[in-house]
Amino acid sequence: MTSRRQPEETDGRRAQWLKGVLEPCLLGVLAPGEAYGYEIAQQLQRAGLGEVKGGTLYPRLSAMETAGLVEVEWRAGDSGPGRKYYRLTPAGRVAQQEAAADFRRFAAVTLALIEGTPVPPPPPPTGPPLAVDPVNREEIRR
Amino acid sequence: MKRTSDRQPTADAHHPAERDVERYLGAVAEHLAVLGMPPDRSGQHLAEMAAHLRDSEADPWAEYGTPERYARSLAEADGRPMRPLGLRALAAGVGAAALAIGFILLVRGGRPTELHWASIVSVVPFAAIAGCSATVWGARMRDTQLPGSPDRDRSARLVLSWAGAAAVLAAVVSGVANALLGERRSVWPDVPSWVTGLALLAVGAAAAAVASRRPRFPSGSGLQGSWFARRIRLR
Repeated sequence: MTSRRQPEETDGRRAQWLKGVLEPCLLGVLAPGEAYGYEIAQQLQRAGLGEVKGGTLYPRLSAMETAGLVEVEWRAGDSGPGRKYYRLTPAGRVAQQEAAADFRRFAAVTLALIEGTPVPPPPPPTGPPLAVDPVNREEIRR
Repeated sequence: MKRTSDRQPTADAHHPAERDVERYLGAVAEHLAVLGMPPDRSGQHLAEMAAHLRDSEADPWAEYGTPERYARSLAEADGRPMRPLGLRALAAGVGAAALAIGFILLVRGGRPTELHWASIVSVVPFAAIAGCSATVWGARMRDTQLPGSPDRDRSARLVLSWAGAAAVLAAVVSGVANALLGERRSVWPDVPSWVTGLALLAVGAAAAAVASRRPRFPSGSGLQGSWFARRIRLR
């Protein structure tokens, strides 16, 4: 028997998820190039995240600007107010790549848990290669 | 009361929908000023809101929520502490007190006015509280005049209770100041009252200028010096 959820309940759940993933999504949307606020909201909606209100979007963009993840530039419009364009800083690009790697693992685990399938093993640690001194290297070679 | 979104689309000669947007942005500007946001930064936020509302043609209430809550979320995003007792509130209170006392002295004239540290320390906390209460209350009252406004009574009660508690604290500070500094000599030169009055009016005018700083819109926003920017004003 399938459960019939109310649209409000689905929207509420999606809004909760969006809180957690909005910033990584914004980093991803800005990765190919710059965009202004309304354009970003439109891209998120077209992608299927639903309507992202200005009251949710701009404080997050502002926090990313404060954190140095994005830089902004105002450009005059053809008519009426100009637009504030956002683009990733070098720190923002690093954050976007880290967020993508972290979320890939997180999504795999949560999906496995939700579907009741075996949870994939954690990836091997990706730190710098262990330093081996010449003496030990010789011992290993023997 | 109906929200803007509940009303029929308005495309008549008076453009009431545009006026609603301006009034909404003005209310956000008021709250950003109360929270101590610099005019440059609040101008950035307001210009971006104006551009978004123009592009989306959305109802500002539906898009951003209440002006006070949205201003707070912007202040938090900017990493700014909530400080309603900021420079603007202090300037508003001290400026109003200086203008009032200066005007009385200017009209009264006569003998020189003695000014003691105790008087200054007594007046400034009350003036600051009055200024803070007036700016916060003014901003909330401005919200209540917008379509879809929050509960007026609740806002008024909150501000009044806060101001009452602060006034009691200020009375204690004043009492201590009078006890410690009351017997000292006057710190103001022996000049006619009208001179003191003029000096206080100058202080009041300077404070009023600080208190009424408008948001400064960024270059490229197309709003610098515009008719729209002039309408986004603080009270």
